[in-house]
Amino acid sequence: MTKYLIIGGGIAGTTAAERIRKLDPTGAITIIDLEQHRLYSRVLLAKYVEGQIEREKIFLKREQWYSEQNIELMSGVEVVSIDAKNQFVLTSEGRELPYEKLLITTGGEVKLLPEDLRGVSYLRTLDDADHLIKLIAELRTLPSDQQAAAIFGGGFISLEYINIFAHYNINTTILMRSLGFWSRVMSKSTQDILLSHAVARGMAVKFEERDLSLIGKNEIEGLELKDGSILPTRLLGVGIGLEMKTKIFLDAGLEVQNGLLVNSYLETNLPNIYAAGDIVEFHDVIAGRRLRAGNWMSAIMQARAVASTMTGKRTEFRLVSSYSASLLGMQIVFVGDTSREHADEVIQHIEGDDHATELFVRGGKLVGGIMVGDTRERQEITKAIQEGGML
Amino acid sequence: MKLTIKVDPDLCIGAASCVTIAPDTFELNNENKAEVLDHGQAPDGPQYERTVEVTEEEKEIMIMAAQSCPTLAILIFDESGHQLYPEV
Repeated sequence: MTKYLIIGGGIAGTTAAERIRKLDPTGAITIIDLEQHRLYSRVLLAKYVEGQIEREKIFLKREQWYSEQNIELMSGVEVVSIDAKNQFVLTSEGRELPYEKLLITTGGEVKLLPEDLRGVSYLRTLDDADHLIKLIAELRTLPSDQQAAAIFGGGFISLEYINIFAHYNINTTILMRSLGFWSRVMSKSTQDILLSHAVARGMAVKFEERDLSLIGKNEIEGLELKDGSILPTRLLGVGIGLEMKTKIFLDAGLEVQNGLLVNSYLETNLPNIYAAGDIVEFHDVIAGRRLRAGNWMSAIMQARAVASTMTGKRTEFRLVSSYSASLLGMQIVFVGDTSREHADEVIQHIEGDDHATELFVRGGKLVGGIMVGDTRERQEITKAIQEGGML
Repeated sequence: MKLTIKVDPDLCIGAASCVTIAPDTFELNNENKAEVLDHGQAPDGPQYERTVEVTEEEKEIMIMAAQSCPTLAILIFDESGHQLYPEV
């Protein structure tokens, strides 16, 4: 009976456990998870905060599912070290858990501000969402001229905050660290489409605010901006990216760069240790380079591939991944490898007042695409990338 | 056997994991929402709900596709109207 140990009970870890169970009905499967909750959808957190779905509806597995599948879930437990030579991990409870196959799916953790006050919100976990719901309720008890929120950052989480605050009609200022949304990925003109859309819907925007000073004693009352002015703020949503906690992996002798390094089979440099999901920097056979793809679809498909490999059928991970976001009703889709830095050329394929498509080309082939406001070419772009051609 | 597959367009966010797992059953439309196909075809035009004749293997793939949806926007029912996914 093979002992499978999975560190991380998010979508990658749980999908892998489910798939391993399917392929190996008798193996022992244990998931060790830092959070206190069974699997839920991070993608639904914003809808939950907006009150559009009940809390119970964001869970993707029923409580009994784990025992029905004969999968042990250890919640609220952290792995503090990995002994790759003797094949066991040490947990925060002081237990040594042996493994024959170890899968790491720990994901990323939110980058925090150096300071903290009540009223500062992050949006990564269900606990974060519960906290944000409380903060919004408190804010709404204030006189309406004091109901002011700010958002720090210009990426995916920033959009979630924008949609949430707009839903509650909260006066909101977006503080960009650069000159627009996804400034390292999108062209200026595409960023401007998103900016105009947000501004037309009542958002105030300030640019190149890199270091915020929080003002307030216990609760946030304002933010000191780079020009010395004070922006009254009672609620601050922070979305400045993820960082990978990799110390225990380095200590174990695993190779780490921007994430945990794996090959196209999601195997690490050490035997019997595999990784999937947001934590990995993998060799993408379609893009032809090593990259990170922290999104839902990659997490699921990597988990499925790695489960096959771990149960004896070595399977290469091959996917043109994509993800969608929405800014106040405007659709945004990223497909494939959308690194400007790694592209030979980025073609502004379509450019309208309220929609744009950018194509990322390398070595004469299409490797990625971004669509804003009009996603009709999504399948075509995905197919062209898959087939190594052009649009 | 016959299954009824239904997409809730209000919940669908175009994550497209269903399309990746079961391309014969799901495709994205111009609104970036998943529509239901019958073995790659759309008889009677695009639809968010369809009853389809499937094999055991196809059923398994459809359920996997539904499970992969981050917003639980895909519902699957058997012939007697019993909801197979999400499990209730």
